[in-house]
Amino acid sequence: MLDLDTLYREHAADVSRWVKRLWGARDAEDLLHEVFLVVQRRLPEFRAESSARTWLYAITLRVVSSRRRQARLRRLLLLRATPELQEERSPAASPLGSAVREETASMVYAVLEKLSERDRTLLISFELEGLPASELTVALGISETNLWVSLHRARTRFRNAYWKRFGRQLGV
Amino acid sequence: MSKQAKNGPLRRWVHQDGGDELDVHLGDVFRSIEGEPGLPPSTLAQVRRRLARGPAPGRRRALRLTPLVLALVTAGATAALANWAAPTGFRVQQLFAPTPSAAPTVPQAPRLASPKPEAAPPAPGDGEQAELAAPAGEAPSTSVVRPLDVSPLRAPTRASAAIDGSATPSAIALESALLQRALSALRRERDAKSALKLLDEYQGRYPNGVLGLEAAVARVDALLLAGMRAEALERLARLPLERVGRRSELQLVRAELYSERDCAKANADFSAVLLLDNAGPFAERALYGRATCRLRQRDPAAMTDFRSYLARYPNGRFAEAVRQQLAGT
Repeated sequence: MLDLDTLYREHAADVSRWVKRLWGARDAEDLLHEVFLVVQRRLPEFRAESSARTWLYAITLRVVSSRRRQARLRRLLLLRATPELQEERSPAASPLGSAVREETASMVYAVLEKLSERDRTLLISFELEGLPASELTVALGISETNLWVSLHRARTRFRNAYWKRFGRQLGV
Repeated sequence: MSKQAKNGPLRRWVHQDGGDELDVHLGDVFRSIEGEPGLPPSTLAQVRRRLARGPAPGRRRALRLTPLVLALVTAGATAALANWAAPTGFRVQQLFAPTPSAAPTVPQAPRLASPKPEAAPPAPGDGEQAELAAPAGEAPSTSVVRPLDVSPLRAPTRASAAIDGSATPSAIALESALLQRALSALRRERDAKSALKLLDEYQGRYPNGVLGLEAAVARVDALLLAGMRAEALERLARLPLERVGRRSELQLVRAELYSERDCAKANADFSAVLLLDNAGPFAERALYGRATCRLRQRDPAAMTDFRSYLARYPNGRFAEAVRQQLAGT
């Protein structure tokens, strides 16, 4: 029988990484807390039909998506800018220590931020997190055919946006 | 574009070995940011303590929604006030800033909603700037509102920039700029040769630079990009990894480089990564690397590592190879 402690011990690092990728570094701690509050509440319903990791990923997606909706509403009402993913990258441990990596990450996230939430989620889950199709279909609640079609489209849109933004300076 | 069927399974960019130049480039890009770490262990422990204290989700949610509710109430009240004021001819703006040539004034809710800067009394010495900013022909007494429109006090003057010294780049800024050029050559242009040349220049100019450690790490990246693995290992072996931000990642790279010739040293690094970052993104590679090194050393612990790998990463990138290994023994 799964308990919150075990789940936290084994998966908190992964969940925190997912949150950082899907939302950004700011408030990642709060979102991690929120995810595990949901886990705590829904743990009795967990039937182990999927792996705990997939279940946690699905919860993380929902929590982040809900936070995004709130942020959009806030932006609308309070005219406050919604933080963009590329501005939300975690600071490097030293100013330039991982500057190369940060710079690359910010390029990728700058393009991801321009895509729809669905495309962004698919690409982060598949390309960055490397989740297998079997887990993704469960977490996203879609069929495998739908997953591949959506991923092909999301990748095409990402490629086009990336090329448009950085193609010339990269010379690829 | 890759030639895969448009609705069939895809290979991740990080695993793609074909496709056009952009696909290859995106493969490199995604590979380089694949192992992004999560939150640090201290933060994870903090969240764990918060969870242990028990949730107050209802209250938290209510608190989180408070700004929204306040904003709705404020927006509603502002709109109501604007509607109420408009038909009676009570023009707040006209009281403060009537302009004879202006078109008929329409009440503007945002102005009513943000009176704070208008109400602030001018500080001593500000009068001159306010007057300069005011359109000609208007009485100085009406300038109470005008700074809001033109923000003259916010614009930095040349004199103030000279006083605080921000116009002259500092030594650290010059040092940082040179290193940044090297990093840019490395990342944006993927030009290891230029990056190494710039890093040599950096080393010559700033042998004891404050960013020396960052430059050393960049050199390792550049050497790896250039395929100079032996030189990269030599540099990595001298780096004080405990002071570097990407410690786990670099220690793993060092372990993998060592594993080509010295499994004892490699295993020490693999084990350190597993100890420091057991739940992190580099643990999978470290566990597999240690298992294969131990196998080469004919250490029976290799099988334990392989089994442990399969238990933790049944769908991992090395799972198939591990299964074959275990089946063959």
